[in-house]
Amino acid sequence: MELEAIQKRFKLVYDHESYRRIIAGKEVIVHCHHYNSRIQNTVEGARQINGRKIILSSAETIFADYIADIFEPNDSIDDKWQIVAALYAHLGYGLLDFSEINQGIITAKSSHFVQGWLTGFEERTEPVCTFTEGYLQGAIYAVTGEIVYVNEESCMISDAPECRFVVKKDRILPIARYPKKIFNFKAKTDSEFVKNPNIDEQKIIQSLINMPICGNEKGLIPIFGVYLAAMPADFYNLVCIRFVEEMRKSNLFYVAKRLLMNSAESCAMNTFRGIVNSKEWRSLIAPMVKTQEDELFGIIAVSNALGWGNWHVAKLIPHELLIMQSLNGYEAIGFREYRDKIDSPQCFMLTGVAAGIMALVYGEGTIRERFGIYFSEESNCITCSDHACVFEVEKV
Amino acid sequence: MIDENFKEYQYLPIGVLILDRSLTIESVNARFCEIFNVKIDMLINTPLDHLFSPKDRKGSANFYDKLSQYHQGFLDVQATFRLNRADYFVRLRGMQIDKQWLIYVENTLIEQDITYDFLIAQERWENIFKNSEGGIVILDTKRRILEYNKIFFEMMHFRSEHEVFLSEEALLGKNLFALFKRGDFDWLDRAICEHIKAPKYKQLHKNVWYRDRYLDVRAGTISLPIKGFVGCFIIFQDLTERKLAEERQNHLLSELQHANNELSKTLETLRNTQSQLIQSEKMADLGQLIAGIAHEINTPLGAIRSSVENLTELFTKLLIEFPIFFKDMSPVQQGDFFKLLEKSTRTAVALNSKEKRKCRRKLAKELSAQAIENADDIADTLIDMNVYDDIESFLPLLKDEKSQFIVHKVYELSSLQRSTKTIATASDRAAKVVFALKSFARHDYKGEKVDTNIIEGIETALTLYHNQLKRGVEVITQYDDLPVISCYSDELNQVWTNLIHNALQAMDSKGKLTIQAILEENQIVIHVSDTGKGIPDEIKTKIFEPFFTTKPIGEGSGLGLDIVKKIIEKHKGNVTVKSEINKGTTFSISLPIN
Repeated sequence: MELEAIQKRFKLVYDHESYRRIIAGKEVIVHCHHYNSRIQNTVEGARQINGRKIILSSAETIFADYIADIFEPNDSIDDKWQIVAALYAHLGYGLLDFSEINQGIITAKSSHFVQGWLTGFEERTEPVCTFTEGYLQGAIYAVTGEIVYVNEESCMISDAPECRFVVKKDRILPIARYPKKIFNFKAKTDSEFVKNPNIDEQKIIQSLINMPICGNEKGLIPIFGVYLAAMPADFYNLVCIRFVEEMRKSNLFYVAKRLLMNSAESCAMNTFRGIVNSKEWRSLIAPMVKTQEDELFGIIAVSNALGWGNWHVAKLIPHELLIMQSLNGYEAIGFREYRDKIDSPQCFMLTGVAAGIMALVYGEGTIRERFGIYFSEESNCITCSDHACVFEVEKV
Repeated sequence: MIDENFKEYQYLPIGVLILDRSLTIESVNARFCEIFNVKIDMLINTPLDHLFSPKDRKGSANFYDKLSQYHQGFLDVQATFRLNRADYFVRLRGMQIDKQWLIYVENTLIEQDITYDFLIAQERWENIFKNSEGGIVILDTKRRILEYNKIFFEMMHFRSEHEVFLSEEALLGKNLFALFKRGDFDWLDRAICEHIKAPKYKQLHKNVWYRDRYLDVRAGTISLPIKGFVGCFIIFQDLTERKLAEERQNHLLSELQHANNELSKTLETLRNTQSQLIQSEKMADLGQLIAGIAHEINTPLGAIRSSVENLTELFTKLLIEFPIFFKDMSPVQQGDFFKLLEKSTRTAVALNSKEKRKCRRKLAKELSAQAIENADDIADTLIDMNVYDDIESFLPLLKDEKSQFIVHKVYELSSLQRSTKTIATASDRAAKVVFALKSFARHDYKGEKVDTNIIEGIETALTLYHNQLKRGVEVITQYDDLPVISCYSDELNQVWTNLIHNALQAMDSKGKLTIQAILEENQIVIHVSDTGKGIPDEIKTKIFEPFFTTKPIGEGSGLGLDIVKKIIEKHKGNVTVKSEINKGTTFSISLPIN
């Protein structure tokens, strides 16, 4: 099958009303290697739970369905392996080689997760492609209907020439299912936000929609000074929800919450520092930026274009206070779909990111030095039946 | 198990907290309450999270990170507790025992505590490290990055092969020299390897370009008293701006030097051109002047030549005729002859044509009345000889039958005398012109001022322009009694000739030229006025500019008045102009006496 024909199935649809990016019928969020590696580090690093399993099985569950939905009735098995590899590359995860699939071997010569960890995190020796293991388990199920385990035997993170995944067919457990309820939510339209005269958000969003944010010849998306990747919102939601739930079982709910928010805060600073130093920012957004506040509004515009939240500035006192309102953030909507209402806010990513943006724009020093200089709290959340999620960030 | 032993914890000199799995406080020892001034009831069943100060999010984040990754042994973190509205910087050391957490809490901000001293020392070090103007990186013994400051991170901005920035965490533990492109810092890597092999303190220093930055690189080994060699440090000082400024300065200096050379060359060329132009101007003026002077000298020369020819001819004739002529005359006639000759050579009022005609008619009538033959011819000759009155004493001679012949001979002899006078006058005139020329061309060879009579200079210029002036210009001079002044006389002569020349041109050689030399308090003021067409207001300000001319192309270089201005300024004087259209122009030159 021609690659071009496959890629037509991955055509981006951007819903301007909801600020959603949709690829092959699935809402995807564009995050960068900082967030992906930090979430992985947080979830896998928690010794009280099996974080690796959360990531792996969430990926398996999501991609088993996602990939199956992309297939068309006339696709051959070869076509399907091609589609699996093409989707993986298109979303920016890397390159997969299925030429030895009959021997139960899949290799990857390029990996977002390896590159992301190497450029974003400390040294690591154990294999890092947990997500890919889950992706492959889901993909194999979608292509062949077989329930398998995929184990990364060697990884480029520890200087192997390629990541090597071995398929094991001795699995009995079925693919886990995490059913979603329909949550008919209509985002409020009467909110009033602070307008920035210099930053043209719609222009930024349209430019980013037109920008081909998809994998290059190595299946990577090195844009805006970071490695981007388009990940199904469901994946992030499942991982975070399950992580918090698992930690709650160990009576560490607030620890889980703090860890996720702290990861997002560090991620935001790293991500947007990369973005504001990138050539893409310099050519597209920097010409609009004249003040620190413009930079903040530019960052928010970029995050909206990447599908993070349809969130906007409700109040800004430079250096001191930021109030953001998210009208239909993927975390809140996802939580309602997977779990329904709850009595405490659940948008940990946006809570941490809000503090991180303030620290990046108004702070000084290294990321480590900037961390924690703002305190962010989600005061209203759609998960608590509020009409919108509200994040209040104050200087500590 | 902890509960069983808790009595023992009561006696420990540090604070102790017992937490359940959810990190809620179950027990507290007395020392904790004592140190932090809290009652035990306030703490029991309180989540540990509530004790963290909101001011130190880093501390609590660090605690939760360590806690989530805790496996065995002690977790050891620093954080800030807020208890009873007071913040305490604490060291938390905890371990999980079964389903509980045992946490030792030390208030580190108690003076004379060794932990406190270490913390203060660490903060002091971090402060210096963080605020250093140089980028600092500390490596372990395997050249892996242990620590670095913000300046180092931003200076290096390490990137992946896809130009993605490496994060701060990503640098930690990586071999520094693997991050550089091959060759960038090989010299430093080799030198540090040598140090590692035989560690002894020695500082390395080199200035190098790295990407687009010019860095001062200093490196040294770190050897501790107990542990010995533990690694090395490198300090990168960004000298790019200074270097670029130096290069810009050098470049500018070089450009300036080049520009200076070019300017010097241009100036030289301009000087040459100006000199040539001035020379041309001088030559143009001189050409006109010389034409006039040539005429001035040619005229007396012509008169002399004509008179000499006349003399030669008459002498030849008279030498042959006179012996016979005088032999036929009586002594009385000879006396009358010489009297008539004398009268003819007297200085008399020169008659104009009309007067001559009138006198001739009157004289012819008188001679006719005396019955003198050929009265008209004789009267004609007598008038030519300037003899038109008191002729009674010559009547006997004129009544002689050969009177016409005798009068003609007198006329010839008087011609000889007139010719000699003409020669004398012409010689005087030529001598005067030559003298003026000599005065004009007098050079102050040494370029020094000489005592000069200004009026003499003006008169010399007038003499030289006499030929042009005499045709239709009335020259009026009014001179005060001026003192001699020290000046560059040759150059001032050029001023007068330029102004006279301009005046003549302005009047088209017809009009009135007035030159006044006035003595004022400390200066001499020369006004040179013409009755020419005047200077329009719009060009008055330009006439002293070099190369400005109203003359047709090729007739003037436009340097005349510029030269005048420069010469006068050289004399610390001033030149001004007043002009009225169709009435005339006055140039006023003031020259200081001292």
